[in-house]
Amino acid sequence: MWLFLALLIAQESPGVAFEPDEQRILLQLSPVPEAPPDPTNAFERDPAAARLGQALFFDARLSRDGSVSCATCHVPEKSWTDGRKLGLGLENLSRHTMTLWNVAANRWFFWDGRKDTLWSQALAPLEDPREHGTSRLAVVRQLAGDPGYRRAYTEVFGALPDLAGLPSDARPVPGEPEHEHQLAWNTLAPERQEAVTRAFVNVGKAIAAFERRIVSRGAPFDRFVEGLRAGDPAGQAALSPSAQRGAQLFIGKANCLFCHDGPNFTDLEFHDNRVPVGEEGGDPGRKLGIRRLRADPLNSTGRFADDGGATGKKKVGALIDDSHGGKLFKTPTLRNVARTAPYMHEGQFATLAEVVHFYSTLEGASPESGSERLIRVLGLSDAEQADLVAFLESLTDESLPPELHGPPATPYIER
Amino acid sequence: MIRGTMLRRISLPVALAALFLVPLFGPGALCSCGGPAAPAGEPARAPTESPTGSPAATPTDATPTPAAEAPVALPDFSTPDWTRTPSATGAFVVAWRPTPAPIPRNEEFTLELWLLFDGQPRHVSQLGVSGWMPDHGHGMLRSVRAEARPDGSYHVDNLLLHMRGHWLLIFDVLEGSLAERAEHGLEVR
Repeated sequence: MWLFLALLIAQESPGVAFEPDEQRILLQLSPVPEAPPDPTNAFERDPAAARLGQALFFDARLSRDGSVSCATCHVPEKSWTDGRKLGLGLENLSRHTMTLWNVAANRWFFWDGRKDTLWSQALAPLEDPREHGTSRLAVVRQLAGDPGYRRAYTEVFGALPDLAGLPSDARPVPGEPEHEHQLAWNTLAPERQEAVTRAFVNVGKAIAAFERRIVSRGAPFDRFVEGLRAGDPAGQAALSPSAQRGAQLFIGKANCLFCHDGPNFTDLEFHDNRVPVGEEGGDPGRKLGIRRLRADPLNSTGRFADDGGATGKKKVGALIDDSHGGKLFKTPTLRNVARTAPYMHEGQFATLAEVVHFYSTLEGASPESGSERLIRVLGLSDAEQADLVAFLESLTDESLPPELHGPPATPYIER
Repeated sequence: MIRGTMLRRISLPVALAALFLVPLFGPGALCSCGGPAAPAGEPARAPTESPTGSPAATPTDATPTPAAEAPVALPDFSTPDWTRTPSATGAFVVAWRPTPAPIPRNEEFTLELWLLFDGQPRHVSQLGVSGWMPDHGHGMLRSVRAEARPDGSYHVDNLLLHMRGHWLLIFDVLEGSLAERAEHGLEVR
C-alpha cells in the first residue's frame, strides 16, 4: 500500500528537468563561498579576537541597565533574529531585526546601509539609547574591570587605555551638545578620547570576528546543486519536486533572482520592493543611510580602519546620494529565511506564504517611489506560490557548532 | 559573466541633446579632461561597424585636433579582448576592454578605454561613463571615475553592475560643440 502510494506520488510529482540555462544559474547559487576579507579589520580571522567577541556578544552588561546584549535581538535559537515584527532593545525600534547568518558577506549593514563594516555595525547598537543605551567609555570600563576581559583584550589588542580619573559614562552625541554623555566626553583630553574610541573600535572588531563564524552553507538546496553539478540524481533528491519547481520559478517567472542573487541570495544592494508601509511611511531607507554613513566618524574611510581608510575612501567615495530616487532597503539574505519570520524591514509579513502572495498579487503595495521598475504582479497560481515557499524552506541549515550559541567559558583562549 | 556583445545605437535629434542625458543617468563618470590631447600614434583600425541609424550630425568644429606628441604604439583593437563601440553618428569610436574579463556580475571592474576620432586617440573635454538597465529603470549605484592617461587612453574604475540582465554601457562625450553618445548593450549573466 505504502509502496503504491509512493509510486503514485513519484509518478505525479516528477523532479524538474532543468534547461541548460537554468542549470547554469542554479550552479551559480551554491556553494556559499567564504566571506570576502575585510581589510579594515586586521583581527577578523584571529581566533582569540573571535573568542573575546563571542563573550561580548552575549554579555548584557554592555548595556545601560544590564538587560540587553547583542543576543537579545540576535537570538541563536531564533536563527540570529528575534521573531519580533520590530526590534526591541531598551525601547521599541522602528525596523525588523536582520538575521546574522552569513553576515560577513555583506557589503553594507543595516536595512539602510548606514554602516559599511561589520565591526562598525556592531558598535552602533551599543551607543544607541533605544538599544543598549550605553557609552563607549562604559564599555571600555567593563573590559578594564573584568579580569577575563582584560586578559583577553590585552592578548589580542595590547593594553587597555588608562581610565583613571575619567567619568563613568561618556561618548560623542552628534547633534546634542548638552547631552550628559557629550558633556562628559568634552572633559576628556583629545588623546584620551582617541584611546577610548580605539578600544571601543576593537570591541567592534572582536564582535565582528565572532559574527564572521555564523555561516550557513549546508542546506538541502546546496546538496541539490551538488547533485546537479555531479549529475547525481540522489543528490538532486535533496529537493522535493515542489521545491524544484519553486527553484525554477525563483530563477525564472517569479523574478526573485533580480535581487536575491548569488549564493547568499542577495545582491548586497538596495531596492524599492513596494511593500506596504505604515501610516507614517516616512522611512527614507538608503537615502538617509548614505548621509549617515558619510557623516559617521567610525566609517571605513577613517583612521580606525586597519587599512588606513584606503578601501573605504573608494567604497564610500563612489556612493551616489540618490541613485534611484525612492525608498530603498537592503536585499536581505534568504539563507534560513524560513526561520527568520516575520519579513521585510518593518516585519510587514508574518509568513513566507504572505510574502509570496504579496509579490504575486501586489495587494496593498506601495506606489513605486523612484525610477526603479522591478516589482510587477506575477499572477502565480496557488500551487506555484506553494512551490516557491517549498523552495525557500529548502534554504534552511542552522547546523552551527553548538558552542557558538552562547558565551564561551572564558573570553580568552587558554594557551 | 557577460555573454557576447550587442551593438546598439541611439539617435539624438541634435547632438547637444546628449548634454541633458548625462545627468539623467546620474551614476556615471564625468571626466573633465581639458588638458593636452593625446599623442598621435599609429592609426587605429577603423570601426568595423559603420553607423546605420538615423542620419548623423556631422561634427564640425567639434572634431578634435590630434596632438603632436611622441608616437605611442596603440593596442591592436582588432583582438578579441577589445570591443569597439561607434558613437551615434559615427563621430568617434570607443575602444574598450574590461578587467577582469569577462565583466563579472556584482563585482567591481575597470575599463581601459580609448576614444578614437578617425582612428586617432583623443582626450576630450568631458567623458562620461555609466551603466543603465533599461528594463529596470535604474543604473549603477556608484559614481564612475574616468582618468585620462598620458598615453591617450582613459582608465575607468568604480564600475559595478550589481544585477544580472540587460545593461547598457554608456559613453558620453563632450568636445567643443560635439555632444554625442555611444552605447553598448550587454547581458550580465
